[in-house]
Amino acid sequence: MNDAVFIGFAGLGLSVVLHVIFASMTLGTGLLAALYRWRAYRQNDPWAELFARKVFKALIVSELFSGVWGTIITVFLAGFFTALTTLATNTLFIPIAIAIASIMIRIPAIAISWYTWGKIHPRTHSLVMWIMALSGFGVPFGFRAIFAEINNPTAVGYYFQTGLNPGWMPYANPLFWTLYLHTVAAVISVGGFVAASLTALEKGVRGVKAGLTWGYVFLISQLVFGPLYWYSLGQYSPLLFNAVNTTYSPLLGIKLVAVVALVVLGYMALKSARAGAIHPATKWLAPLALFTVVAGEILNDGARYPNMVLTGNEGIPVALFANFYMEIPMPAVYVILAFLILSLVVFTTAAFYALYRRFIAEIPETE
Amino acid sequence: MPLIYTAYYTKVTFAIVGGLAAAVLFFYFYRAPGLSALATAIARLFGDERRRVFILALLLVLGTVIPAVMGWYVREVGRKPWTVYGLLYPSELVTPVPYSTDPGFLAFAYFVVLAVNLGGFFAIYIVATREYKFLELLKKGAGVSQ
Repeated sequence: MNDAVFIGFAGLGLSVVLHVIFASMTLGTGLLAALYRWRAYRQNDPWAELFARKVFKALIVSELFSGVWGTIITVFLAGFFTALTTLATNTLFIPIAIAIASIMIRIPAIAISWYTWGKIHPRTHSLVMWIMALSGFGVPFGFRAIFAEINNPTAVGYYFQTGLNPGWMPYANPLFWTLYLHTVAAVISVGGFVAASLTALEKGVRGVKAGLTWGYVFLISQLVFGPLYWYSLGQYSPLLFNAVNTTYSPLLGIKLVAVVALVVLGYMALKSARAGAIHPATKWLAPLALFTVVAGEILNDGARYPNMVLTGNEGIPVALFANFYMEIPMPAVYVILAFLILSLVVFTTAAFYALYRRFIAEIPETE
Repeated sequence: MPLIYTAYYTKVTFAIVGGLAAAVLFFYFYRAPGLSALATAIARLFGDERRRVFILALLLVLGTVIPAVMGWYVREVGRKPWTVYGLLYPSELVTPVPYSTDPGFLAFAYFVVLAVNLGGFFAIYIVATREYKFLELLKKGAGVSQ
């Protein structure tokens, strides 16, 4: 593998990890915002509406940065891994179409939700919010099919054997459903913990309790979905399974320790919130939850190195999917790498200030 | 191709109108010997102060938006039947997937694009025309006044 391909693979991996951090925050907080906005309308609860708006602000910030890193992923894929992009677009057309259609619906729905809030009937606004929240889950429904296929190429294998488009076949891939359930539970859990940590900074006990309840319930569900995905990897992607359990076992161990810490601290924080107090650990639950997401994504994506696609006990090297149109000059690769590092510093700093310093302007909120 | 020519000269005409409106507005508000007198004389053709600023600002908006849109139109439609001029036709570049040209998929894709655009325009209309009544509606929506 030459340096350009390695840097391309590492850059793609870094972009995916950063994208996943913000994407899990935005999808999870989106669902919470829609749920509490709807609850405010149905149960005549003004607090629920104010909570929904607070959570929505975290959604806006994370959606912006998620989109930025999603674009950087596309640039890496198109520039460095042209063959992979072409193959994925041709064979996984339906999952990609679902993901893109979901993005096309979600982004305007976010803008419509925010700007019409307080200007249209609460019932109509709740409907827009639900469209916004649920369309978000269509994005991993599309893209996770690609991840399942590069771990266990059933639909792509069909395409190579027959020359026919596999259509909906990616959804018959057994790895897809375990990965998707694992992802959905992770993002809702992260959304809950992010909501709890941010409202803990404002000493809002009820918001902390609400966020922790959702975060904790879906964290507990991960005790089923996580091992289920791990088991299905053993069945359908043995090379990745072995890499996760041997070379990458220290990271797997750290992730499991982080999950246990999250379970214990989350329980303590939830117990305190139910008693009307905010546990000091609450503000650290969101970073901890995001760390487990990052560790899981590195295990799922990075452990395949030096391969890109895994076929049972064998792998297809990354270099075979590299740009076949041109030899990418190394100075250009270093410029891209420098831009990536600069983007990482700038966007992470901006995201931190936007989330913790409350940079989104708000009208006065009083009950 | 008459449509392309019409679009092109519409773009150029509105760009000139926009440029002139910008110049008149600029020298109407910022004094410059000779030019401001000319700008004021032109602006007075549109009526009173409020009306002349509105019309000049409107011409400025039209003089930027229409050339931008028409520019895209002339370039993209004018290139047909090529996608890469002189080299590639659209039929040579379309994704070789049967679903991409399936009427059902196309209907779905157009529905999504149309729904998103209509929703967006409706939201812009709501935001532009309705007063901000967040607290009142918050209380109403939350049932405080019920």
